[in-house]
Amino acid sequence: MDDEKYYLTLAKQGDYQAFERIVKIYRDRIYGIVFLNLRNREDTEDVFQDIFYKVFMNLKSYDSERKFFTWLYTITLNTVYTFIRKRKRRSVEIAVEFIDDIQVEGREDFTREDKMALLQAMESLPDDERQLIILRYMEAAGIDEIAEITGLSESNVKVKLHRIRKRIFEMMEGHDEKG
Amino acid sequence: MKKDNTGDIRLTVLVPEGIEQRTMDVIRKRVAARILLRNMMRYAAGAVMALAVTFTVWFGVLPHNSTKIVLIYAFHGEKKVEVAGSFNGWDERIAMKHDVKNDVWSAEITVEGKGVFEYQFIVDDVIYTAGQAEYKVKDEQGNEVGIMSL
Repeated sequence: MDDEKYYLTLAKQGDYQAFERIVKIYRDRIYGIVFLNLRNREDTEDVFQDIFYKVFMNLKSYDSERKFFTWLYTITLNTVYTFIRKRKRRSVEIAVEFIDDIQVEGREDFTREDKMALLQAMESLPDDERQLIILRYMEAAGIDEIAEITGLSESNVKVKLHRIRKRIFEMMEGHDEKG
Repeated sequence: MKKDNTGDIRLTVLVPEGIEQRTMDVIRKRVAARILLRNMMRYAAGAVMALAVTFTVWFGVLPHNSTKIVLIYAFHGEKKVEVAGSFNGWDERIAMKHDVKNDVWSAEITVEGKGVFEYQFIVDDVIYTAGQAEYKVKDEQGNEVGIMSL
């Protein structure tokens, strides 16, 4: 985190190398969030680049009292939604490319069909809940950061996440029974 | 398979190799393009300003390269007197006014630029003369042409 602050200070002054470090720190999380929203590699890379360009250009307006990820996440979601609105290209179908590029860790018993069922269950959630569970499953943000992003208390975030996970579980159960 | 709990799941997404370098390249290019555009806008604004100044100077807010002269022809009972000259390419005859008080025909003419100009009075459409011009020459028809230097 101290490194992050150091690089952010340099990047604010226009240091490209320092900013590249910031990109590296958040690369996996931001790419994952965008990819889970857009489901397309090319669009994801375009939007990913756009997000970090906006971040670089607006670093001076970043309030260092706030958590950097919270600010970055706000820009990320705004850019994703703008992209979807402009291009209307968020595919509803789950493509092979999309499934292959996502790995489920912590559950060795997960089959490809289970993964598909999980992604479909996530897809059927309301947008705000989907964004919340993406953050959690991607381990992109801690409970405290999610609380700051959503404006909820940490205990409320925990309760909400628990309910969402339960609903996902029920939907996957339903999928199993159909299958 | 029974999925009794989805809480311990962690999703990871394969990130294309070199994405951070490509992103930095894009950022550098966009920033450079932005600077270029900003400079171009500055030059364009400068050019527009220069044009505006030129326009202002040319169209008279500031004095420009033109001279107003008054041509005089002594009145001898003519019905009308006009004047033409090289100052307007001999294209237009300018009607002179009868100044009763001074008993002369007069016309105020704006001449653009500097140099030597020729002029001629046309009296009642038939007589072509230089009148009492100080400097005069004769044209091919033998008519007098007045000369003025500005």
